Amino acid sequence: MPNMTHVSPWLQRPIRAALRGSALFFPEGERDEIAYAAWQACAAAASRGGFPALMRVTLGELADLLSVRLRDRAGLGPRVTAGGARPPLRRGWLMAIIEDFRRAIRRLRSNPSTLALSIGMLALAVGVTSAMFTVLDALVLHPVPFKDASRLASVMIAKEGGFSPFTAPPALRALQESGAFAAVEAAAQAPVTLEGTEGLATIGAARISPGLLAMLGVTPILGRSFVPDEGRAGSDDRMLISEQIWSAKFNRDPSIVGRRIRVSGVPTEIVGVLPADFRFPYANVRAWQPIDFFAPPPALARLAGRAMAYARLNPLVPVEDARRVAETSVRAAVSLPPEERVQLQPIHSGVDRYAGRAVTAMSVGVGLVFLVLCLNGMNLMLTRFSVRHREFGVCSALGASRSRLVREAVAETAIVATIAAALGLGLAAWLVKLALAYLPDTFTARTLTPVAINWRAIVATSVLAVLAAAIAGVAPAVMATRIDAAEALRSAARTGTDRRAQRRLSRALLVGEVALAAALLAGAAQLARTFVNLVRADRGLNAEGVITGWISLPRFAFADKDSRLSFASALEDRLSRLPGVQQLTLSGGMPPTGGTLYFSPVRADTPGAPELSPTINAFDVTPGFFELFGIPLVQGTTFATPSSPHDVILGQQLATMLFPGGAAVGHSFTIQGHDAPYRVIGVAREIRSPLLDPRLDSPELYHPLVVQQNGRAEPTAPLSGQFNIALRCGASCPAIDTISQAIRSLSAQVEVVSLGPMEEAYLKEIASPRAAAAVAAIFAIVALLTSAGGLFGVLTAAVARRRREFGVRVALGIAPRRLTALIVREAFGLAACGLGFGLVGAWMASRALASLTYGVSPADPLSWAAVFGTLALTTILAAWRPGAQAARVDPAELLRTE
Amino acid sequence: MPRTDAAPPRDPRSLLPLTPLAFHVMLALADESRHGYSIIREVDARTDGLIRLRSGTLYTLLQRLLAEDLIAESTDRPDPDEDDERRRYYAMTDLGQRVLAAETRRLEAAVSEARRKNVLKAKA
Repeated sequence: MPNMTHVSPWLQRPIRAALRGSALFFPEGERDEIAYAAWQACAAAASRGGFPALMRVTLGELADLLSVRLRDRAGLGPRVTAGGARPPLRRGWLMAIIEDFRRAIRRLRSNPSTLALSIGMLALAVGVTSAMFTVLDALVLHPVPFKDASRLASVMIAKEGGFSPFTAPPALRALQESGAFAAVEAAAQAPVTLEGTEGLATIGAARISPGLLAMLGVTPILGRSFVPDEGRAGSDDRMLISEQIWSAKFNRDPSIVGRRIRVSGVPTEIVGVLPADFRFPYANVRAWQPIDFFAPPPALARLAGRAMAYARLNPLVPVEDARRVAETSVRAAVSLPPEERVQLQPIHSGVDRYAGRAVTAMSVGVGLVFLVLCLNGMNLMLTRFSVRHREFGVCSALGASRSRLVREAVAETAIVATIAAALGLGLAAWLVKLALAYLPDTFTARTLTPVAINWRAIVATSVLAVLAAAIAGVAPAVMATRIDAAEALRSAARTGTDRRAQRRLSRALLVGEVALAAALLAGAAQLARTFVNLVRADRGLNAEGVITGWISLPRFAFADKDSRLSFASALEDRLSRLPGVQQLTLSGGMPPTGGTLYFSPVRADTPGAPELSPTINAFDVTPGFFELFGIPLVQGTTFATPSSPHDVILGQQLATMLFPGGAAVGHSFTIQGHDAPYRVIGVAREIRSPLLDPRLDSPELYHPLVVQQNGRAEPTAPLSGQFNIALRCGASCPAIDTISQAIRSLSAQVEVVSLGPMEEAYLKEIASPRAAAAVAAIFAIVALLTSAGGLFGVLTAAVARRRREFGVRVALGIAPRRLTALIVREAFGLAACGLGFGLVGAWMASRALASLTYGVSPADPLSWAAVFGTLALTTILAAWRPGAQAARVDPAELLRTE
Repeated sequence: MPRTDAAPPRDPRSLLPLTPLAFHVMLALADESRHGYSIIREVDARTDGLIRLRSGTLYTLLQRLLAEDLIAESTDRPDPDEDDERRRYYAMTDLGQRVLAAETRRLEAAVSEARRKNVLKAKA
């Protein structure tokens, strides 16, 4: 017996599995024995000649096992008796199928143009659909890409329906010690500034508890992960970077691990690189540093209060039980108000509701496009098969069974589908690349799963290709082979009943295409109108001629309040001297992206006022803020300079909410957790966020940016980190680069995070609806062009079929113009029929899109006019040439050829 | 003596000539019953590596030989220490012995004829 120890177990296992798999072609009782004998031969070879011999013999054995049954069926297998005639070829199903495919390939090659068109049509269908599936998969189906993602949850301690993502360290400790979960870890967002040769760059980063990566099942591709106890004073200067940062900033230098770089002014050791597709807790995070939330270094103490807790659920503990146990132990550990509860939520992917809904709607849209393309492919196949009517008749007369004819037709379709699937996958990869380049970040970058073709997309592509082939190929094949041989042979030109049925089917398909195109057009028109409405929407302020930007003053460079305040005044001075600048203001937070969100309850000073829990959008502003942005004050006055830190101005919405009785000025209110009540000195007109999610349009509250404190003027918190600038410059604004250089000329340590016209910032906010409209328009155009092509094909075939009739009519004196009219009328008949069905679909589409539209009613006359107009125009264009052909029929020539 | 087989005995010559593969496999089984891999080794050794049987081919051929009644499954098994339950052992039937003998005689006649024509004196 050969010595098995010559083959390592790692190699043994796959080889034995492959041999066992190949033996499946043999009768059941023999498989074990055959696989065993084959394995012994392989092992013997290994002991004789080492690895090369093992591979040679293994491949030989596998090839033999896989092919011998086939050879045997073909009469080429091992025999007992030599000489004499070979046994007749056994026409088993396998040989028959091979034969079918050979014939199919021969026939497909004889008509390359139709072949190319069919393949192109199906490849387009498969490609577009797979690309859309990839986006849908990343954003909606699998937005959280971690190991057992369904068992991961975000843990929050908040009121029912309330919103507070943070868990204080004692509560975090209680969660960990409750035993309710398999693991509890935490993370806090903490952007960092990297210092490089090209200046400063702020990147999204997070402080995480050392065990978080293990809980999520993420391992570094280089270096190590964090170890327990890292993140305390002395061990907090470590960092893991994303592969993206590693490529972009360090040119994939393998010696990066162990190197120290300056991060926000602190020399920090890079301990490892995490895979590019890992993004957590937010999609923009590209670097991670450790923190011990229970013993943070003094510099990070404020982060400990901003911990977001994440848990891995224990598979054996029901979710509700885990929640209850966790809540009991949190209650025991910290004084939790009775109305506050422990809440578990699936990990949020960062995909906003609009993008999620839009992608789902687009997927339905792409499904319709897929159907249109398949219907068109079906029509093409039908034409192909109906041309071969006579050929099928001959085969049938020679004794070919119907199943044989269908099988051949199906084989042709299968070949077309396979090529289309391969091309479609390539197309999908390209389209995804294109989508990543052109779709806004809201669709592609705010997801924890990167948008990329993966095995799920490949499976989807294959399934789609089979589906497309089934729709496009099988029905025409069955139809075309329903043949009366004698009738088919008598005359190919005569119109048999079957051919009439085919023609009817072909027209029905066309009507379907037009109907689907109409529905898609209606959807696209609604989304386009939405975008226009959003651009035109009243924002409650005047953004025209305003340039806004985010500026970052790193703490390490501007450590004390005085240096920040002096920078701020130098900045004001420098920028206001730029030519064209009329007004200038600094602020913390700014529309449209918003300010600081307050989640705490508020209560007015009026007797019996209830406690309210709005999400408030707070801005820190200078007195000139309102004038610069054209926000009128409807009550009271703006801030004085410097102002009392407890003076505030309310937006109208918050004023009405807190003081429904009327005048708010002079009243005061409290915000839970803030030290003293705020006094209302004015009410400003509400700013509207032109967003489709009203939840995001929060009421405003304005604090003064520079306040009188300790007997002198001091900036409030926002000036310590990032703050905003806004310039009003009317028609003659300075170039963005000029402004940027002017800011940088004041200090090399300042970073201009973003700078640009405010109109653009607004456009960016509505990038999702714009992209939805653009994608819907592309879908509608594809469907429309495809239907136009189909219409053109059907009309051309009709003209060719009726040449004789037209010739006779011309000979009898009909004006050629009227023949053209005849064809155009036919075209409009088909289009009108399609539109009729399409109206129902279009109505359904508008209803389904209601949550994605803004200011457009489903019965919007302009949208419908666009649908009717476009369809009519397309019909005329498609009917043009066939109509002209009909008019050119020459009876004399017809008589000669017939 | 009671008749156990209703079919008339087959003429061994009806199966001649054997293919080289069939001949060598039967030759390997001529003196003792063997399992599949043992046949492969025996043929390989006797033909000096000229005929290397692959498992798939061997088992397809064994099916043919079984169908022609030239070999049969054998219940004689070696000691359990040297055995493996996955193996099946094959042995020659009477018909197989007679066919092999007939084939060997045919080859012998052919070799004699070759000797008579001094073929062996020619350089190989």
